[in-house]
Amino acid sequence: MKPALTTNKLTKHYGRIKAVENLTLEIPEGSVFGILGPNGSGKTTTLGMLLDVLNPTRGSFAWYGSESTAENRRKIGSLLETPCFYPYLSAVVNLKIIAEIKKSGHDRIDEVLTLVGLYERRDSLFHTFSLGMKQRLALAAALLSDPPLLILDEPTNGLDPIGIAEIRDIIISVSKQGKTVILASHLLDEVQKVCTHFCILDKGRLVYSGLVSDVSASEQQVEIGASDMELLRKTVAAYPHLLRSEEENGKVIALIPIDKLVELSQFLSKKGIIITHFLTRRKSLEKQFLDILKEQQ
Amino acid sequence: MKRLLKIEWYKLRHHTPFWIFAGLHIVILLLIFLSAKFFLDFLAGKGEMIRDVIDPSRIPVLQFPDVWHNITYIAGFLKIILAIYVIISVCNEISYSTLRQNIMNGMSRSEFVISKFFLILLFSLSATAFLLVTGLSFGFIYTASIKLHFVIKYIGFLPAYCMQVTMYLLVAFLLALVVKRTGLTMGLLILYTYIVEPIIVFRIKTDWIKSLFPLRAINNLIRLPFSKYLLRETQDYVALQDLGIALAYTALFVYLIFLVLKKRDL
Repeated sequence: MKPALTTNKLTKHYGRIKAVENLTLEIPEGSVFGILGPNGSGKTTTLGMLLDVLNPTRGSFAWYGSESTAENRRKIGSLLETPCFYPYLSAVVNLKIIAEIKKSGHDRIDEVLTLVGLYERRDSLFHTFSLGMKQRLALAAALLSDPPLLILDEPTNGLDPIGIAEIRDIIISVSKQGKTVILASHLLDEVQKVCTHFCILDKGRLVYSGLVSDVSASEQQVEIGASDMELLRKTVAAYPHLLRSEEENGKVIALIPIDKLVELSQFLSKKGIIITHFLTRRKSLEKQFLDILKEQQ
Repeated sequence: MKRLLKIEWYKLRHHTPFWIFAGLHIVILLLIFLSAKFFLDFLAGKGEMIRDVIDPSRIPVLQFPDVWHNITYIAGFLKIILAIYVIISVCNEISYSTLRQNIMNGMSRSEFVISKFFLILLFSLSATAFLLVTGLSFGFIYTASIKLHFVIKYIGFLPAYCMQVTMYLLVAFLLALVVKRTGLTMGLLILYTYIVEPIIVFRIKTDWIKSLFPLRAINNLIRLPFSKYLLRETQDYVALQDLGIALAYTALFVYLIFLVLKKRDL
């Protein structure tokens, strides 16, 4: 399958600050691609270059193999940082302007407004909206032309838990239609729930790129509690396949290869430990993320 | 093209300041034209004479063919009102980040510039159309005997006025793009128009150098008409060299506008 996006040594410097440095990425068509990174790691700058609002210092990129043009951008639904609309215009008129820009016709306006739950407020002026409603309208705008590719930068900003869940459902349903989604976020939990691929940026550099499923595939975290914690600690430390262990809230957290789960519990009972708590945890993306960033430093 | 016009029209139609500025422009113009006539009648009523021989009420300010030269010259002073709206419109696009958003949504940078050119042309063409209607009305009301060649004699000042407004609004557009802040842009434009350039031009002795200054070049398209009523020599046509300088400036402004936006990070 040809990639939806390729970047080649994409670089953006602001004076001496290297916001993005030699970023080479490939985003497969149909994937939900998470871009992770701490604040100021270059996520938004990268997306700004990909959408032609920032001029790269060096390097290039291509959507579907071709040079970037306004024509290309009309096929991308994007939501970057804060929602930007004409404050003195209503939700509907704002969307009409976007429909004209995208040459996409006005027939989907009611549909997307309903989808994001703003149909009742369609004639209210944008400046009367709450932050969450503005964010919803921005999502409606991104979905307006039914684009094959969505770019979402912190799409859950300012949303309540219901809104966050709704955004997640929308992303999942969009990707089920075979569309590509690029999602920049620092909410790792969100990324883990919806993304197939992810990469990590740190200080403008690409430090990791891979599949989300790989993160939890080979290792397993187990949370163990016992009546005799002292003995448990010693025993776990003596377990031959142990990768790492630590303590958290009075429980021992052991990291082991994924196929050693049964063996570990047998090992512990053989040593005469009475287990009061045994819980398997997927190794989270958050953990992985922090580990990778730690390795960088 | 129609698409860009439509986009700009959506923004204008629901923008209250647009209607306020358009209305203000029309009302102030009418007030000035009428008060000029009333003022001359008032002087005549008091028995004043210009240079002891001319009865002020008989000066044909609003009669064919002088009406065209007079009203376009006067209207030239009010283009600042339209320029301020252009500044508001452009600076809003920057401060609301809708310029950035529109580009991300698939407008090209040139399309944005062209959509604002449409706004400028809408202003200059409708202001010219308004002067056409006003000029015809005044002409037919105040001219005693109507002769066709008199009606159209100075009508060439209408396209000159249209060009004047377009050029000045281009200056406002360019300045707004560079300065980005509404209040500051307005302040700078007013300062340059009414203080900086007039002082520089005043201190220069050579005429042809004076005519090279941008706002002077814009205003030179329509020279002072009233001096003829004082029996002084008056340029009652658009000189070819003035037109040439004006066209060169127009091209320069358009080029600079494209250049500024093309290089910019939004």
